[in-house]
Amino acid sequence: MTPRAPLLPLVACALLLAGCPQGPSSPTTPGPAEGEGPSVSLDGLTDALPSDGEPRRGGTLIFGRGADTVSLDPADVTDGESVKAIEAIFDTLVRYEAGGTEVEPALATAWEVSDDRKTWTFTLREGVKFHDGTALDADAVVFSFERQRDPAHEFHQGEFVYWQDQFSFVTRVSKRDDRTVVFELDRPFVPFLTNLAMFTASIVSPAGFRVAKEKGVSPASQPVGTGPFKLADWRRGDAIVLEAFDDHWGGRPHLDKLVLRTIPDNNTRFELLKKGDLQAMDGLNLADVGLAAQAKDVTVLAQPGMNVAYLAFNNKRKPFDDPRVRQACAMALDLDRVAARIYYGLATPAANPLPPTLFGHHDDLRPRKQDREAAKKLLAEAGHPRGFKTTLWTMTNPRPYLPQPDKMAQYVKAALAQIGVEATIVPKEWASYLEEVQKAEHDMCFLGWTGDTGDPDNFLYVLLDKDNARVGSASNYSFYEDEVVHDLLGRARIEADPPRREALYRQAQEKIHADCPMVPLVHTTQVAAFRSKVRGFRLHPTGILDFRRTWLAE
Amino acid sequence: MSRALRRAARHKGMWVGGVIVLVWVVLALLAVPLTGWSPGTVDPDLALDYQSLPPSWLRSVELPPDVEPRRFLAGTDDGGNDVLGRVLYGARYSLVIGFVAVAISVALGVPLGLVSGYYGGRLDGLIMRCLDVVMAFPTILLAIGIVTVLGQSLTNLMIAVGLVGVPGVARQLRAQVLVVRELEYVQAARALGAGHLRVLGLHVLPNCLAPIIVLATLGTATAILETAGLGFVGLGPEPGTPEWGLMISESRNLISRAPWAVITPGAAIVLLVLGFNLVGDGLRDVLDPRGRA
Amino acid sequence: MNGYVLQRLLGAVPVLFGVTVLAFLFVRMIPGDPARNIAGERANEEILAQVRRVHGLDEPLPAQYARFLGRIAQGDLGTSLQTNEPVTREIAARFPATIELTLCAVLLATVIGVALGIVASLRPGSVLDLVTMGGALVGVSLPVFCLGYVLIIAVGDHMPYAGRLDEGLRDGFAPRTPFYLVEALVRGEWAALRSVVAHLALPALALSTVPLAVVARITRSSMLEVLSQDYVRTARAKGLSRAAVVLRHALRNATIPIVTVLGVQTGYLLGGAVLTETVFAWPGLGRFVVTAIGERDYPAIQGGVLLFATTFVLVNLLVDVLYARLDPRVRLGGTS
Repeated sequence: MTPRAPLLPLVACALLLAGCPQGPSSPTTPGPAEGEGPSVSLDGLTDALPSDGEPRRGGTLIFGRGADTVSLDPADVTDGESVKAIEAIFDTLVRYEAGGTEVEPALATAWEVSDDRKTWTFTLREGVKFHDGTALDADAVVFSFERQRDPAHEFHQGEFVYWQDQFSFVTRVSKRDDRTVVFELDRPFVPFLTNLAMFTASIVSPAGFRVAKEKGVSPASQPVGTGPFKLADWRRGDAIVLEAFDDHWGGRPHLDKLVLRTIPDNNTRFELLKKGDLQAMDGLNLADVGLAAQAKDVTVLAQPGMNVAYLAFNNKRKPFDDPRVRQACAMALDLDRVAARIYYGLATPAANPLPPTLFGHHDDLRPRKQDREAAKKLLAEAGHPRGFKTTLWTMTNPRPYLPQPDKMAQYVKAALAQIGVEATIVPKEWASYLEEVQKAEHDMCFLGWTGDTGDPDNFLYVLLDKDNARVGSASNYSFYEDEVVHDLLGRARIEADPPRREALYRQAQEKIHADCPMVPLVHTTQVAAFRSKVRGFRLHPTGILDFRRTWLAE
Repeated sequence: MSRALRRAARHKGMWVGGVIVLVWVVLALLAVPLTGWSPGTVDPDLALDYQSLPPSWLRSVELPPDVEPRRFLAGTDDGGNDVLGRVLYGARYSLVIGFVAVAISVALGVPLGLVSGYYGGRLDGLIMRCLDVVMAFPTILLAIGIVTVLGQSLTNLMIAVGLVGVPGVARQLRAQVLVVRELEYVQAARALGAGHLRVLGLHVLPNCLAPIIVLATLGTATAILETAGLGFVGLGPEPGTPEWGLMISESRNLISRAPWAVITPGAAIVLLVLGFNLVGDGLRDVLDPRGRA
Repeated sequence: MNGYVLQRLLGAVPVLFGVTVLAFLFVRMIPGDPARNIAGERANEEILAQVRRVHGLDEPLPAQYARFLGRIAQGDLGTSLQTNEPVTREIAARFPATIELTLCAVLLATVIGVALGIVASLRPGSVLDLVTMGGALVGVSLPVFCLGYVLIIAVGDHMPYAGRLDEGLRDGFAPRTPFYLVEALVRGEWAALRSVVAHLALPALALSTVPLAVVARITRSSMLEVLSQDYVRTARAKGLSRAAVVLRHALRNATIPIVTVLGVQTGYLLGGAVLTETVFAWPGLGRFVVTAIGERDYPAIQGGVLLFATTFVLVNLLVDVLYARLDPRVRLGGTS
């Protein structure tokens, strides 16, 4: 019953990320002190498997995960489990560098942008083949984008949510010659290049679509890409079997086969990994990470996640329209304990909605210290000397940033009770959760955000700008409508100079911290477990699984 | 009746079951004084210091010097809660949910079965076909559906488990009514001109009491199991409630790290359900010797 | 005989019709907007409207139902909102796994249950009887998911417990149908068969506990009843061996209640498969439907639930017919 984890749609300009502290690292929060319960120190976990030695060709890597892929049409998926398979089957014009969010050439070898930054010209790589044997040319690239953009296109079938969200400024994609493609934009847009590295911009084979149409089947079940692996078999609800593509332009992958198996139960999946039936898995129980790190022949990888979990106060409703009440509630919580105990040390207490690994993060702000007496005094000043009754909404399904929503809700409820605030937990299924909290009928609710590329705009503007606080279609679930913050975030969106942009974001974060419209709780660490004989794999901040250079040692 | 009493006195299984159930009722009532655990009184930050401790008799764990030493007979879960305290307190939920759900099944199922069996004909056909439709759905899916439609809460959980049990009660009662209806003195009452309601209430219903009691007892066992199943798929009462199914579901990620947090509520379910099944079986043997499983 | 079967068949038609209505309505009473679930969390009203149009979610309920029914008649269960694949294809890929699991559980429950029941009935009150029946009682008191975990912890190191077949054997076996067990048997692929059976063992065992216990108890009580009857005593008196009496007379007559119970238990098994399939990562229909409920995938829920309900009705129809074969009195008495 582990729910699939839809990916939060996100985009940003990783171009601005240059110079950001990142790279291989262990989780920043130490585990609980030694001798305290059965916890295991997490020090020494890295984000990459060794890649030394001569790669061995052959073998099957079976990766266990919680839910099946929904669709293999790269332009029409919104869930993380689909993306995992799509990243293996397809390539994009540009791609993220290993372990980071800067882009490097992929199907395009070079590109240039006009002076007004509204026209982008891409030169395609020579000799690239699709899985069906057809050659990659400008027509295929134009097809891949125009079918999303143009409602009159023969293959415009699907919702294309990401296109509307992230490419709606593209007015036309056209072919100059067989190896050159031109994108025309209606405005300068710095993050455009980074967006092209996302799965949604995958290049598909037009021939593949025509064949599928003739056969009367959905192209989403018979994907044809240029990626390192091609689809061999898809047993729905059970496994996706991918085979190495011999003619991949970057060289054939070392593995013969990559199998993505669906094992819904976290315990079962972990037992299978220990037994050796799986070579890799994600969705490890946080409580088991320590055990996994100690398990024989198992290696655990960890990396600070590009995400945030937060507790939103509904700023539109009494008594949370009073900043003192919000601050008091924030002071009831001990985020160090939350990170160490509820997340088993696999999280960093958050002071900002923005993850510390991102550009623009204000490093001097600290989470509010837990202080129950001061909190009670603030409540009394605000006119609630004996506290009040309220509701705390939570999703029932685990999220990547909130793997134990029930435990978190119980902790917050009990912690608030200590300052006299009596909260009733209102659990809602994820499928209806967002719709419900958009109605602004909650007092407090849990939510979070995961980044695909990592620009501050995507966290701060989306989560806290008044533009996004419209009841019914909000993404600012605190319904925080501050003019100063709105002005700062608006200016930062169009500011091209990184230092000045950073200053704007710092000011905005200070104001947000003081107003306390929400309590940023933690930034969750990304974790995956592998059999120790697997070589040549590295976690990526966006969660991409890249098995191109992975092999199985003897 | 005296024969039934004599049979009851000899029926060991029923007595064992009765004692089990009785012990659970007593434990549920005395849970707080016995273990000192009750919901809402625990400081969550202090509790986290005792996260996932093993049962004190199993092995002892060195706590940091600033943490007050405490012993937990069945260990703690990952919120640092006393597992035994929660399990004993949780017996209240299982007992109440079981009883209320069965009351709903009986309150709706008995009239349906009575009317259907007594009047027969088209009405009977209609009621039975409708029940056939409901019974065609797997119970767990039906219950999941009802909770999803009504919204997740303790009340709706009881309603869902209760509704799912209605067709079973109605059908078995109808079968009994078909027999009772033909009894001579019922026929006689009818012939003497007694009204339908009067015959149903004074003659038919009393003759169906024995199977109703048996059904209700066995139904309680089923209801407790179904509640646990719903809790397991995440459709139980408010998160954090010490309901057994929910406790298992909330602690099942701990099965390799703190198995006692899963095993203790699991064992509690088996024991209580076993108690009700023993009593139900015994009652059937005693009250309704020809009845079947 | 044929008249009786026909009568039962006709009786099933309104029930199946009711099942479609209930499945259809039920799904629409669930809170949550399916369009938003398809389109994702950042879709605007424009996209939502488009999604509703494409999937026919903007039509009035009776029109949606009429369309639903019309399509069922053509064997079309609609398109899954999540995967954009025909629901029939999604179901066809998963239902065979559930059927094989359920059938194996029924087989285990019958064989072991009947054997235990007979053993217990031969010496009522003996230690053997007490142990068997006590075990059966514990069996019906066990939540299936608890047993699943217990089995995994206890024997998981020696037995496979996720999926249906060893990944390594798959290429050699290359199943052409989703019925692995039957196919491996028919084609004589023994290595594959061993693997398929091993994969089935634990989930089928976990799933079979409750029906097994029920069958054991019903067998025991009907055996006791039959054994005490005059003709069996006569047969014994005539010098027939105990085993012959049990097998030829008593068991034959005890078959009727056993078959009836198995019919009812099929419903339980299909439902129980929902939990079992989750614990054992079994790629079947139960898990698919539960996921679909969470995702508000209306056509998928309808299709899955409809298939479960139809199977239940048909199995019970079959049981009724078997019942009539075994017990001629049923054919003469008219009502069910």
